Amino acid sequence: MKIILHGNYPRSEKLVEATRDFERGRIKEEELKKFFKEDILNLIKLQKNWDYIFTGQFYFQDLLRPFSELVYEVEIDGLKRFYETNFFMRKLIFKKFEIKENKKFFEHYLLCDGLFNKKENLTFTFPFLFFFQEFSENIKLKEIGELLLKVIKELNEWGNKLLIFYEPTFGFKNINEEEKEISLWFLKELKKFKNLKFALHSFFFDVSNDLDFIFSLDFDGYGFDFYNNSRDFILKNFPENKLLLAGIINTDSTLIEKEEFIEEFIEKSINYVKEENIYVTTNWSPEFLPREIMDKKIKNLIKGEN
Amino acid sequence: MKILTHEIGSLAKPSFRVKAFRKIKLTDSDIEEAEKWGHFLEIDERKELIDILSKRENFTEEEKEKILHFSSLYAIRLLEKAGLDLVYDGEQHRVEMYEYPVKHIRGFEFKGHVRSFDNKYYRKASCVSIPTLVSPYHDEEFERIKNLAKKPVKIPVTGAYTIVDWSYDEYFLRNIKPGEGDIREKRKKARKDFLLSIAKNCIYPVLKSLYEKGAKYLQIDEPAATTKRDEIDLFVLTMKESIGDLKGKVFFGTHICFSDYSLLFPKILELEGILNEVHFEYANRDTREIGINPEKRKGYEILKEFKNTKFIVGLGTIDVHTDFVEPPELIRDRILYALDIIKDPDRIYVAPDCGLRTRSWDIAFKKLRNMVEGKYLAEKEARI
Repeated sequence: MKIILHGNYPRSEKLVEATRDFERGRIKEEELKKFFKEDILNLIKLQKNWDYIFTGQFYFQDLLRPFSELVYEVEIDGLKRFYETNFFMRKLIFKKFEIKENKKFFEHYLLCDGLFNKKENLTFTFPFLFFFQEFSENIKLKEIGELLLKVIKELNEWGNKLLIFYEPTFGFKNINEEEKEISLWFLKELKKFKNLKFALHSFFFDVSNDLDFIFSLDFDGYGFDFYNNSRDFILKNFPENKLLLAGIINTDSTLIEKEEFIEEFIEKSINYVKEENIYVTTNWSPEFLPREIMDKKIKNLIKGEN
Repeated sequence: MKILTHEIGSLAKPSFRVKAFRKIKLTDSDIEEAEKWGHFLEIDERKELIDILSKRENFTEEEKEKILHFSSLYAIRLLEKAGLDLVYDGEQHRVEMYEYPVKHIRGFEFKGHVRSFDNKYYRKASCVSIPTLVSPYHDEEFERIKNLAKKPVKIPVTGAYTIVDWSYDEYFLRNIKPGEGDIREKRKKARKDFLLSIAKNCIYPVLKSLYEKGAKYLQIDEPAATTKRDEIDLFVLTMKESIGDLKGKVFFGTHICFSDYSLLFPKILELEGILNEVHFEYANRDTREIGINPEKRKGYEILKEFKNTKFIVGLGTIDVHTDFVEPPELIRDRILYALDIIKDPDRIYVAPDCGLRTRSWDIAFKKLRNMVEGKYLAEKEARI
């Protein structure tokens, strides 16, 4: 059984407290960094011999915010509910669209100030086009694509990365023809970057009505929330030789998954997808759970694997 | 006929109350603040409080109890002095609206902190077995407030839907397998079981006990009501089960805020005759300009949905997220605009958008005082 993580990983209780202390002036930045480092190193320990190492994206306040540092004149606005959860994101208001160079994006947000190096097999999670647009203003879908491509071009130089695009908009609202066309253009551009692999991960909603469109986007892999979707319905037309990111670790519940449920899921999935192409993962971003619980869920999987 | 005014729940806790309970040493300014407000609110017994606070730290349990009593008394007097018709103590007895009830329900375990936004986190609990009420958890608070208040008291109670939506579920979902063909139906059934269990076993007994103790006004807080678009039916069912046979015996309001209210209609109409008042936040969406035309009052658009209903409209007229103190004339116009749609002044209760927990007492008081003043101006204008 192969495991992969994505999204933002939850911060430990100690780090949560440290961020609060830092904001209230009770500790210095250097001290706060130590807590971040400890959280990151503990996550690395969990991922022994995995195909792709997940950095945890601990410095991300949310999946969009770091992108505001890649464009001139962006305002970070009020809170907007993250789809149907009790997590809120801040909207990005683009005053004008002009991309700028910013090393901090790569070094701080992606490589965690030297804790990871460019050459490692890393996985990063970025927002896909519709999700990005849902939480921003005054930016066209194509411009979002251009901004993402600018980042991806740099990552292609690094090589050996899996980029997972989050898209909770499937099943949440209708995607029109023009939006579909821009998505197809974006995919065509993505495929020019030969040193990277790309996956699309949908979650929260029943995506059965969008499934044909999802599979028409030529990703290397597709992720699904199997606590909101039927395995057989999703997999019966699953494209050949693609990776399946099986969202069967439920981050909407603190209940540790029963081993027999995981085994049964994989056994039945093998009828549609080669076993070596299946990655067990979370249905949503891990940060919907407290750190301790999320760690337990991963350890439980590893134990099952052994 | 008279337009009634009330608050919506929380007020900030005074610094002497917060620090005494968090074991932080009080400063001169904390004690001066207690004296200043005590004087302003005409609390004759304040000397007793000041004497206790002079100790500054290491308060005994008995002293902390006194401090709590005074913070409750101060908050009640603040609302009375502002001129509200219904009062409360701004949640001085509670941690906050989620942790407090959950701590009094057997079957929940706190699991740790999860992010709400930015670096703001909240403690989230998980339902691990059938939820049962330890004991009605607002009785003592109600008794104390009732004994202190000079005006009728309204007690807020966190609703079943919000408790469930803000919690994890390990119990009702325990046999759900990922990827099952009918997984969404099974999850919805588990969700319904969880909701009904909280509504019947926990919220109903809490409401019933308050009624038996003499509560006349109860507010069911449901900020999560519209979080999930396909669960409005469950929210309505949960409300019916929570109120049960108490319908008509007590004045029931519900408070919902910062949501897409359109999702509630028409389903919420099933609660006519069960809920008396439906309170929304409106001012936050509105302009600050004087006037009673729809462009100026764009935050109040959803009011048309109430036009032909029996509901009393709980009218949020002050924005709780800003220190801008709404002038009475702006409040007046917001009320007049609502009156123009609803027609009946008995069907309008004027309130802030939400609890004023994030505002200082100084700002909260000025806002509430202007709200009451605005109400009088509206009554005068409409010749009520």
